[in-house]
Amino acid sequence: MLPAWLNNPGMLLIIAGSVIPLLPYRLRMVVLLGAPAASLLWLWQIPLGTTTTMALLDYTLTPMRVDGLAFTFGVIFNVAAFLSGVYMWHTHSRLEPAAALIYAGSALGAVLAGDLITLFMFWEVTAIASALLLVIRGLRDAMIVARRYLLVQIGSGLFLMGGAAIYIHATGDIAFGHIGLDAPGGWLILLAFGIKAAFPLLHNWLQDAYPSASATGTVVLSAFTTKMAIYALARGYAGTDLLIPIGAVMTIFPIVYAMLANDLRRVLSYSLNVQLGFMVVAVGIGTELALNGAAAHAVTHILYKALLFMSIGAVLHQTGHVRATELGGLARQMPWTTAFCVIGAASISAFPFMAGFVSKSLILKAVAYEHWPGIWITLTAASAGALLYVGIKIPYFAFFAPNDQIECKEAPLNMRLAMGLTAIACIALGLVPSLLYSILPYPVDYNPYTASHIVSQLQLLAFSALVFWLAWRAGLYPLPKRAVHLDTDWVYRMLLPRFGYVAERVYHAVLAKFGSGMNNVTDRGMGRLRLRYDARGVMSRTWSTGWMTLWVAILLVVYLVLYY
Amino acid sequence: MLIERNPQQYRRPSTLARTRWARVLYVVCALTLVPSLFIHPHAEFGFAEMPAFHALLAFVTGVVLVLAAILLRRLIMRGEDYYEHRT
Repeated sequence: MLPAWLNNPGMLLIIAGSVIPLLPYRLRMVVLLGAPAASLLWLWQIPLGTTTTMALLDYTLTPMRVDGLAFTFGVIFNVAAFLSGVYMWHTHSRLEPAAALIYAGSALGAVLAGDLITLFMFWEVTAIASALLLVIRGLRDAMIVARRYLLVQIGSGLFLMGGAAIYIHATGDIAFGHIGLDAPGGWLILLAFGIKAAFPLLHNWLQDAYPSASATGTVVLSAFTTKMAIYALARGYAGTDLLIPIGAVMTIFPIVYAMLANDLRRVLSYSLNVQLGFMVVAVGIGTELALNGAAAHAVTHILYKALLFMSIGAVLHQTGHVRATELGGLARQMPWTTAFCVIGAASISAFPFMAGFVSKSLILKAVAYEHWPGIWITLTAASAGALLYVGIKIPYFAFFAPNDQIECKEAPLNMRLAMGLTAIACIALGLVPSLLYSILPYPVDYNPYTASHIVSQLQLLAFSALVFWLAWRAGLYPLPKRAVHLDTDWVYRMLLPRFGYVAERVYHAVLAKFGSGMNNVTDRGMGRLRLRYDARGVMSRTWSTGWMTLWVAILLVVYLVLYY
Repeated sequence: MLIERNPQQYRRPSTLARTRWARVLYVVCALTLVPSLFIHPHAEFGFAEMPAFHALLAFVTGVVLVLAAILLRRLIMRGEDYYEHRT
């Protein structure tokens, strides 16, 4: 019998990821694919309602809780880990598969976590492992982005820790169940989840970071962090009305950015944000149908978004380019990749008989049942817009736009295999929705294939394609340009550094004016600080371990004495 | 190898193939409207039972989004090296 903290499919992935760098190439690949497959099988045979517990200090932790909601997300996380494993089969990097597995495992662990402390620990591991995926690429720009990314992710973790501490202190309960805004610490925890779910104004880390990872890294990144946050929202804040307008805003404003963006992976990141909006609205509605919709959309969205990121990643891998201004004309040279990309684009645009169709309609149905006409129109409009900013844009600019200056070969076999499997999944879930509905948290009694539903969806698609064509012909559709489009990252990339610069100038001006008197004071102050904190100061000397242990022990004793 | 594309390149005079596709699109649009005359829509809201409601919604949304994108680009577009020139 395994100890409780190990008895968890998430830990299986984390351990597999930790040993992977030590293995030779072939064995590495076996583990990369075998671990998610084993973890999926393991999860599949755990009966719903199972929990494991362990004692830590005064608390009883629940490292694993498998119920309907956790099961759905757990299954798709394993599938995503497996598919991205196939996609990165060709890589000889030792670290990338390791980071990918640890990242997937910690996201799985967070989804299975039954208490806030376990959730927090896995929450932080996802932050670090995913930042590692950015760092591995080794480019200078990617390092800078990774630093910004890590700052935001750790920030989310700190809010979660603060909120959880307040919550646990006030209620004495560490279980991760429904929290709500009225609970002590509820707002802080919502903020933590909201950052990772890319709420409006908190969203820009996503579009900043995802386009900077490697071709394979972005595929892994796109699956886990944001959907883990959606799961956490569904668990803690289902039925919180505030989420409905937040989600609705999320479905609209990134569309415009996606239409403008040049980097195709940035386009996809903005569209990811739109899709998260659908799920956030569903969580805000909070009925069983709505939560089914959120979970179903998370499943299909992970698949078709991975497929799109894979196809664009394959283009990047083969050509070295990823911006619309430099791409085009690849349909002849990469026919398989083109076909898979079109399937992904059709899925995200919710073509009937594609995965997006059967999940998005659950959410729209739930919104209609609870009588939110404005929100319903917003979401329907957003799904019509999908064709404009991703459904047509991505395949066109990557594969069909006139460009005879790129020569390249079709993507490697393993990439095509991964895309093929994902594409099959997208079509299978669309054709046989009961496959999807059978793994949802609650029983589903819904048939998306009614005549009126199909007709209205076809109208939606045909007429937004018509707008695209007319706008294109009139020269109004915003063509991709080599430019920066400002988003909220401007605040911390431009405004704050500028502010710091100005503050420094003011400080120097004041110093110059009041001259030496001031200098003396600061110099004396600095001297004292140096005495303690300089390289040879008391605080930064290299102490032997023995001394350190002694000091720690003394501090603990003092703490104990004070405590009693 | 950096290739700077001429924006005009996207707007070559319509080739035969392109006009053919456009015609297909017009026909498809018209075809999607036909069934809504016969099928009674089981719409979620009264206003959505109007025939061709979804077509209208898609069209209006598309136009608004394109215009919004044009306007927003005027406001927020900066040079490619914008963030590299910071102080």
